[in-house]
Amino acid sequence: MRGVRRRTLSLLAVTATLVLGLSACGSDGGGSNGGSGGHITVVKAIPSGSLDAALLSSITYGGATAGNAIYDQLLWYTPDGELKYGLAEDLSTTDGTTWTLKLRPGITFSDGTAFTTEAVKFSWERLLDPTLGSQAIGAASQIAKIEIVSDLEATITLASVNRKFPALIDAQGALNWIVPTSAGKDPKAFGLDPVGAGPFTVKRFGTDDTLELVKNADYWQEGLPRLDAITVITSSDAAATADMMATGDADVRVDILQEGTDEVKDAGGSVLSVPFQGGVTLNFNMARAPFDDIRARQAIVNAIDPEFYNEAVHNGTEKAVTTLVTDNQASYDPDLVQVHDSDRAQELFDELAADGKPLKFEFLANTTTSSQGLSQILTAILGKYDNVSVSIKNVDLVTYGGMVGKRDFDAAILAAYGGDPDTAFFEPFREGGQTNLGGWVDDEATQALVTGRTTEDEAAAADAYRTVQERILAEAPALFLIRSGAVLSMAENVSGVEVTAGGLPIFTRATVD
Amino acid sequence: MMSYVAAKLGRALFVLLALSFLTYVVLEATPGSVANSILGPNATQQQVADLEAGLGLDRPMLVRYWEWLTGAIRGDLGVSPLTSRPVAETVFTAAGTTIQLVLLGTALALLIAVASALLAARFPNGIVDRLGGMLTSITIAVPTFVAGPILAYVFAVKLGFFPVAGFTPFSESPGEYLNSVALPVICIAITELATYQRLLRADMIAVLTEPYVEAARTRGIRERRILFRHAFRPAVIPTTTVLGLSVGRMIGGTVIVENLFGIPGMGKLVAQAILSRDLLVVQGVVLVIGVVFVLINTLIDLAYGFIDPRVRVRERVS
Repeated sequence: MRGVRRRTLSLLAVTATLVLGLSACGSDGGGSNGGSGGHITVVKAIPSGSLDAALLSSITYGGATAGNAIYDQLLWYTPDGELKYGLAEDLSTTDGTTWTLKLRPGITFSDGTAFTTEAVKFSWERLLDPTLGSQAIGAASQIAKIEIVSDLEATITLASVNRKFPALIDAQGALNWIVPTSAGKDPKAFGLDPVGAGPFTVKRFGTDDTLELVKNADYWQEGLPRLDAITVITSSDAAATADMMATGDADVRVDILQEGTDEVKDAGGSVLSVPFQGGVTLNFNMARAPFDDIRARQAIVNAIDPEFYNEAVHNGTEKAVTTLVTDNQASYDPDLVQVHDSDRAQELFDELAADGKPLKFEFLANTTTSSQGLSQILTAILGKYDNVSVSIKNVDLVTYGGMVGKRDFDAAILAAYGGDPDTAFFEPFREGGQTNLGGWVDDEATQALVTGRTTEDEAAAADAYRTVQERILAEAPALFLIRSGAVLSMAENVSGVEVTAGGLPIFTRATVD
Repeated sequence: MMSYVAAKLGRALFVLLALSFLTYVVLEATPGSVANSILGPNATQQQVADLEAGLGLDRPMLVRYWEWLTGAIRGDLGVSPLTSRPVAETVFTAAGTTIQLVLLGTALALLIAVASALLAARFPNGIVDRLGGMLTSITIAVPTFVAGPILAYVFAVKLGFFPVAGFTPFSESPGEYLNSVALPVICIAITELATYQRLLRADMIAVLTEPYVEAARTRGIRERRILFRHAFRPAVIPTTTVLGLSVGRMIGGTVIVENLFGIPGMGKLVAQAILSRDLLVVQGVVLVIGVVFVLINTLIDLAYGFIDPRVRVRERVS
């Protein structure tokens, strides 16, 4: 018996040692409590992988929190359209092609090196390296040349006229987040231990994507940031993140979905929503049958009610698209609405069938809620019509990206949204646009988009974007479903969080009680 | 003994080699590459091709596999193109977390299973036996992806006893650590204890009817001593076999629990790696799971001799 007891105790001791030993080499994930200035936990949906500014995704629920915290911004637009300068003092042009950038003096990176135009030139030019893997490579290719005038001034020449260049910088984080030239020595190492000029520095970036940020004591704005520390964690489950807000495990949730926001408000918290122009779209591939025929596209647009989609897939929490821009835009016209007319839809289906081309197409679905929901809606709704049938092809996100990139689809869920009409519509609907994956060619729309980007005259730009909306509604290259936007849910004791027009959160002035 | 262990290890190496190669082939056959993940859905085909070339993904598959294999033998599992971290560091860190969860979950399951099985065997058809039977029927019927959200909703969201998700390392705060692993550990234990309890109970009852046990009773040995000294050890051997298989399976099977509770273990890591086509990380995880599985089963085989001396004697005689 004594022998049994001794062996049992030994076994327990070994087990305990194993657990303790393994926990020492176990994950270093999880948050920690900050200092007396306040600490918050921010939850986002997708992992960052690398903290290199060139590789951080500039989307609300991705790398935007880290990017703005570590690197600050050259400039940004408020949701009301006001341009604010940060690390830059001014960015101006006379002809829309040649721009003068002036930096704020006396700023240093967190490693003590000076923040100069050399760093800006280096940061932008490295984006063009195809082996770096930056998603901003397309945007960066719009910059033809950068000439250093002095440490604080540079002349930028664009490849073509673009009076919305500041908006491009605001929308594309990799252009806004500047790295020191030392990042070029070992980009991989830099991505794990980055250096920026932002309000926070990296204390720890765990293998589980948990990021611990601490206040940058040398930040250029006196008295800021107000928080001592931020922990950024990742959770892709919308329900779980909503629960985390409810239980206090997270203080801020950055997302684009409204799910869970009612519960946040019920608990005394607040929600900051910034709607984008455009929205989530069902895109048609116009390079091949059946959607090379405008009747087929118009039929689907008339058949599917975005409000029904919103109710069925998102429980009515999102905003179904009626107009393509929000009512605070100069180009807003309440008569330019997307129409849902089931009788007209059936007429078009019958017309196609009479021509020997009954509509039959494949919907390429990925694993997201929106895509899966839409596949069910298409099957259910189109099943009620005659002379139309749809099949669903389900693939994972990476395969999906590859297939849409190769234009190997009939219809797929994509997106055409941004903080302003230019970022929302220029690339998705311009002939030859990088994200014009449906291959839409419309001279009038393309010209209007170019006018909107190049004209100095605000009234002419508004007219141009009205033309763009008219052409999209008439030619139906896509069905707009829900209005996307940034949704920041904040606990009751959190305030001072700002967000750009492109939905990127800024925590420089955030406080916690 | 040494030749037995050597033969076992030789077979294990072959299994690991075949496993790694098959995994590589299957993942290579899957459409898309890590370049698509890095560049996002708006990348052009040319951009994807350029990045693939930059990452060396345009080289023949066998060349890349050989490079990986020779590196793995040296302990270098490569660097993830997605995170720029050494794969070995990422995988071993995650493995440590998963192994903690599995060990704690197994320990909890065994604690409950052994206690209830002993009582059930001692008093068959008694209240403990019948209650145990009912509860194990329920736990067997409830899969992890149902048990997990129920536990999270009741104990985290509604009662606020534990966090909804997240993990605090033991080194940071033992109290927070136990708090953060409580629900995932309970979830793992629930799904395993039914198997252990039923198996052990059945074997205990069978052993307690053996003639040598009856003989012990007639010699006046107390029932408690009979239970622990004479019946438990032979009865636990089948459970030990199942335990080995379970633990090995759980090392790779905690993906649901880890994703549900936000635990940064191997299950979560490999799920993300597969979705983003991070081939090197997937290979690393598969290799580690394979090694752990083989090691655990070898240890279990060796443990038989410790538990049942007759096994040691039989081996010596043969």
